Amino acid sequence: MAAEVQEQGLQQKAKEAIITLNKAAAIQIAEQASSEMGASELVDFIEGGFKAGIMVVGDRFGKGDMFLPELVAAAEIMKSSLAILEPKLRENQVAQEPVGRIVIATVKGDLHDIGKTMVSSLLMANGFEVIDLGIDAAAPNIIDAARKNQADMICLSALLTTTIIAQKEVVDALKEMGHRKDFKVMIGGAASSQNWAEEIGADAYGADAQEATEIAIDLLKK
Amino acid sequence: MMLTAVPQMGLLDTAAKERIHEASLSILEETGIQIDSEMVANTLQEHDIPCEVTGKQGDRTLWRVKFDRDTIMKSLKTAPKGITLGGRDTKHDLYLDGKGSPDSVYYGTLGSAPVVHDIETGERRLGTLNDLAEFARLTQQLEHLDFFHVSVMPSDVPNCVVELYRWKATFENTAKHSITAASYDARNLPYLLEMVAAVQGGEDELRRRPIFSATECPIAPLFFAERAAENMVGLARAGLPVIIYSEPFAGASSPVTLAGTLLVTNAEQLAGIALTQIANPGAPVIYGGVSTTMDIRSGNISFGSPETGLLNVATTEMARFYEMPKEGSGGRTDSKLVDCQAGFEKQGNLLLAVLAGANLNNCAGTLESNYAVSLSQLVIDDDIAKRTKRILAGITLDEETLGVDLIKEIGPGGQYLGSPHTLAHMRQELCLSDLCSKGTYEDWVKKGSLSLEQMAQKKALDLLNVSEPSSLEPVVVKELEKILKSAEKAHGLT
Repeated sequence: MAAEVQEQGLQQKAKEAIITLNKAAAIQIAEQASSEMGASELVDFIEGGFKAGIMVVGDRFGKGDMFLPELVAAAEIMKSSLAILEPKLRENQVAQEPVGRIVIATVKGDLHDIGKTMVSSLLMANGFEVIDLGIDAAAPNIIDAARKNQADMICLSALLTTTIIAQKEVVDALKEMGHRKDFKVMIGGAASSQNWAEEIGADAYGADAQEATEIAIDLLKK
Repeated sequence: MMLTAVPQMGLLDTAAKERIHEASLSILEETGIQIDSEMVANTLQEHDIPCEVTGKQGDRTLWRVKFDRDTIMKSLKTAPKGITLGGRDTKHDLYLDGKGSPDSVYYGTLGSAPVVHDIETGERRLGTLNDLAEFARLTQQLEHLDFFHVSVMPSDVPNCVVELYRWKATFENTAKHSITAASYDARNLPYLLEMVAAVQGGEDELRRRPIFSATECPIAPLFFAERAAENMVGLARAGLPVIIYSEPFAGASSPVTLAGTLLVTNAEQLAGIALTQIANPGAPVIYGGVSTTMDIRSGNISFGSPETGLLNVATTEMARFYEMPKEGSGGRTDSKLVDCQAGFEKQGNLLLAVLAGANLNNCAGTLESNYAVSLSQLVIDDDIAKRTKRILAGITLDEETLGVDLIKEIGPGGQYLGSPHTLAHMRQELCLSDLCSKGTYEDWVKKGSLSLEQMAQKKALDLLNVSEPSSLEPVVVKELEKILKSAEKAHGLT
């Protein structure tokens, strides 16, 4: 009974650490949990603690009570905290099922990072596992990463009207390799559009981080 | 004695400007900039600027370049303090001084917008080459716009040579000075230079009064990526004007504080100026801070924010500190419509920029944080430019304008309606709008009860109907076509 109460207390603290953007506390809580809890307890702890916290942040962001930089910070704190717990989870082969697994990148030739980071953060805040390949990512690398990580979805960002063509290259390469049906593809970034998504055969276009997340939730439900 | 009282504004005193300058030098000396171009790294190393390899980004090598104080100070010394930008027609030449004199303040379009709000259907759709031509032709017709930033990114031409289609359509449709990124692919730059030489009848004339200048953008913070950095160097070598187009947005690619964003902008400017001056001392270069802020709710860039207006003033003051010409963001808007938000954001921020003395104010025709352009908005912005020019002209004070004798003569209870003094001065003293509703309500109803947008739409369509499609000599048009064809061939298009 006492142990359970303490466990709930730690879970509650983890949630609060995320909501209050307290990185030092989050890390300390993760370390404590890692040493005190068994692997299967950890899964529940993450769900009810860190993940519950970031869902609150995502919700408050949606309502306009918290702002984008806070959402990005929360996602980063969560990532650092989960990294502490990961070895124990992996060691014990405890499967953690995310809402969905997404590989995201800014496409080849485009060096703009910020819009993609925003989308990445909001996806994480909504329970997705996000593998962020950074900027200037070539089609083969993106597809390799999606296959290796058994991703459900590929998100492709392009800011420049001259680089959106690289979004098409990824879709074309997926088709050529016979993997188009293995992944949903969403495009975004200032230069892309709904029309472009339709033209190149992507599944969706996300106009901003909020819309991209809503679409991801919707697409991966199906 | 005649005195013209001209409104001016400033935010930073000398100590503040020196502080920004010193902090910029320390950033460039200790942190430096990142580049990923071998050509630029080689150029810098030939001039004993240390470039240190820091890693790889895919297949590109990344270098860190640190500039010492002497290099920067030397560059600031050789950078021209005034620049003439040519129009295809000399009556459109612009002289940019480094002092921000009111008669060196100009207004123009902005764009490279992928989206166009169709003037006839109202549809929001991707822009085409024909849209670009229409924006250029209308800009040519609008009296208060002085230069043409290539407004549209056409979706209906091959991507690998899109810039050459843009330049060609621009030169064909306007004789005003034109501005945009020189090329998106370094291989296309020589074709552009061929094109402008053809339009201007040779390279000497081109260098004397270049009809185009190139906005080349670092990626904030402090990354001078391949194409832009190579164009800075390549254009400087050719003696053609480069605008170092820093666009940090506060909270995302620079500190959220305006001071910190100003500092990132200024450091990028000094680095860009150094790149051009190392490549070719004396090459024309323009301080181009268009810093802005992030909307922390959506993550979008906010050009219409009041802070963007303040940043425009402060970056202009830093350009003045170096006695360099300045391009700034003028008055832009985040509004999705031709509406009240567009009006107050544009006029508010444009006024701040010009009161600080920014030379090139690019903003006309844009909506949606520059994502879209509208011909109706372009016409409205011409009217805003007219008002703004009037404000900047200030109040002329002399015996004649004071009218002491006249006031005594007419005396209490009299009127000035038909007086020769009124007739003599009314046209230059009072600015008239072609669009704004000024008469009585009944008069407005009689004229069709049109909204501002409807008035603007009508004027735009009328002007487009009477505008010449091209004022370029047919032989030059042929030459441009030939150059474009050979570029397409080089890219493997037939």
